[in-house]
Amino acid sequence: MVLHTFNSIRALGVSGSLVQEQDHVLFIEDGVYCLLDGSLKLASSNIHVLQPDADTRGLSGRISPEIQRADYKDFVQLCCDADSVCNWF
Amino acid sequence: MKTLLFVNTRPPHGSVKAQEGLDALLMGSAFAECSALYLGDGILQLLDGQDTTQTDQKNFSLTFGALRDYGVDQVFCSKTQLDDKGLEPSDLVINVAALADRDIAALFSSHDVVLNF
Amino acid sequence: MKFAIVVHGAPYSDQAPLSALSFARAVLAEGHEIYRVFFYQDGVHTGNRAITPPQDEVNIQRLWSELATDNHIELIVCIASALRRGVLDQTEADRYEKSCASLDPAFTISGLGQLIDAGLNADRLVTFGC
Repeated sequence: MVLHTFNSIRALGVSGSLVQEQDHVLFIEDGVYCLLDGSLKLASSNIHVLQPDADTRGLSGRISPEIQRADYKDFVQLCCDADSVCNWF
Repeated sequence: MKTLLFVNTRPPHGSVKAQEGLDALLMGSAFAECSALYLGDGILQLLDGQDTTQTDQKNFSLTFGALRDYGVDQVFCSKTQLDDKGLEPSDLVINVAALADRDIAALFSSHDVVLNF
Repeated sequence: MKFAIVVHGAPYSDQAPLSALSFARAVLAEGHEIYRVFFYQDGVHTGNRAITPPQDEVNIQRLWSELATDNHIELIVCIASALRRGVLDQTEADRYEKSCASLDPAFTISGLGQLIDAGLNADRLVTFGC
């Protein structure tokens, strides 16, 4: 299982299609805007958002409850659980 | 020995990111088995015909020809993204294996460490 | 687990150095080890001790220096990235006959090989780019 982090909409456009069903995805920094309009299409349903970055941008109440909220502690744990970490920016 | 995958997504010359990504790949090749993957605008680093004489920049595209000498034999790109840009493998300065998305995803598992640039 | 953290973004220009700082704190809080923090590309500006933010903003360089000093963490700035951006320690300033050194003492200038070493020896490598 690979953990993919995306920190921008641009980064998702480059490599979103590489996410596999078993992978986990974490949106950080400006990447949280990828979750704003609910049109996200990824092969994986293991989608997380870094809550501090979503809160900072006023997005928390605007992101679907199906997206799992993560803090930095969860971010660390996601890295530990993954076989490989891939940071897209 | 661990294997390293260097992933490059930035075009050359508009910023120094691409050049510094290549620097890291060359350094990596001295210590470990390294592969390189060019995605998105990163593939434009490999476009032939780059001429930087008028912009005071370094034409690091000339260095890609030496990758094999550095022991970097595996260089990959996305077939879909190459097609989207209207490019052919013959437009690139070195031989690159153009892969489908699923085969690219497999690279993340088959290498021990992924370094993104 | 042993974590290597890589920072590519510049303080005040990009969120990367602050995100990496929060991540580093969480790594330590969870009982893991930080093998090394490697500042590459514009990330090397994080070590610039001349950084002088407005009073109502945090001093990102100082926060990193304090974290490193308190927890004995190795902060490396890439020499090639640093020199071309004017981030120099006293040794490099003397070598190139520059009038000032700008690198905070909590950071160390070293080669790109330290990034590769971190990738090979840490259990996880996490990059905060821009």
